[in-house]
Amino acid sequence: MRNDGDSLMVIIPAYNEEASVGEVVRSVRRVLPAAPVVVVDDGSADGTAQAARDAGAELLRLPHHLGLGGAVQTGYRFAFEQGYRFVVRVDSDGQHNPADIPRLLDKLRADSFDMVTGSRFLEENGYPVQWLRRLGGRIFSWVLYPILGMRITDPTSGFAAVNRRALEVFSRSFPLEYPEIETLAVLQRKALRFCEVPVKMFPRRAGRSTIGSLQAIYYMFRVLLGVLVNVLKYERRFHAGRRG
Amino acid sequence: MERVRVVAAVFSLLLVAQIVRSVRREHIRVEYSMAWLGAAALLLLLCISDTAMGAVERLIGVGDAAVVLMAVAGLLFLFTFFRYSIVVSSLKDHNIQLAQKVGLLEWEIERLKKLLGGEKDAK
Repeated sequence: MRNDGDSLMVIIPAYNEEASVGEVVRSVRRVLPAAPVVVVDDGSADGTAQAARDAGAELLRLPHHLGLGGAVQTGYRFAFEQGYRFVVRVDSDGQHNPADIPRLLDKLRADSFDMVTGSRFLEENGYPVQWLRRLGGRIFSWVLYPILGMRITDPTSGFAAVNRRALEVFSRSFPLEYPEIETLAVLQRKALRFCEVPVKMFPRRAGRSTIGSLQAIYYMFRVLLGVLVNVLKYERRFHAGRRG
Repeated sequence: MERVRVVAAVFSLLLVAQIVRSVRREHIRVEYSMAWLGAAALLLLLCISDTAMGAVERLIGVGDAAVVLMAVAGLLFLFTFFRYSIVVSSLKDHNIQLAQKVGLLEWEIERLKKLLGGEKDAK
């Protein structure tokens, strides 16, 4: 693996995604042939690891299931320890379009943001979303607006590019469950900059979403509590230093 | 002695016996048995000592031994559960760090194996 000054790594957290992870790896490699693609196998019980390896990915195998946040953080820790400057996270279910990665990276590099996320709602692209999920997204947007000082159109996207500064923060501290929204609160707390760019997303290639209807309610309260905790952790000295 | 205090005293003694048995069998570590033993001892003290029971009754403003025992037991269990929530959270954090470290080290071992295999082939 290379880790020169402008190095980029793509991480793909995967849990029981045997049917889709191989094609996701191949499509990322078609767009970014020089970037290492690392699949973090979060204790899968199926052939996810083999499918990823066959498709040409580097493989980090966790000894047991940690959850999405634990898997993503493993990828961030790995990239940080290996000296990478930029990391893009792509989901293993095929919903994210690798063709949009350059758009995320351009924004990250050109406008000195620390994290850029892909939003499926910034521009209308016909992505089918359940009404419950859309309502949840709106509630999170309202809650996050006064905290972040900006409107986030797709807080649960998960399609994100980060630079080394954000990588350092995330490799030390990263939410374990449903990390996408809490991640924004973590960045805000650390006075790091982030924004969204419009992307196209697809329905998942195979398998089922990890969040069911009842879990969605738990998800809402769990995430709101996590955001609140991050607000209470507000690091006054850090913000004062950054402003000065 | 009121009947409820006798029942609570018996329950406390049974709790102590069960905790000691679990510690002997190494189902519970000694340091994690302390909170349960402390709770059982306090309940036992309230059951057998009129002075202790009277002091707590005056402290919380209740004149009924059954209510005092319930209140004290409830508070003790809340405290114990809170303490173990902290312990479990800490263990989970350590567990995540260890699992991540295992994943990263396995990758490093695979990389070194490939490197050594390549060197052997070259020789």
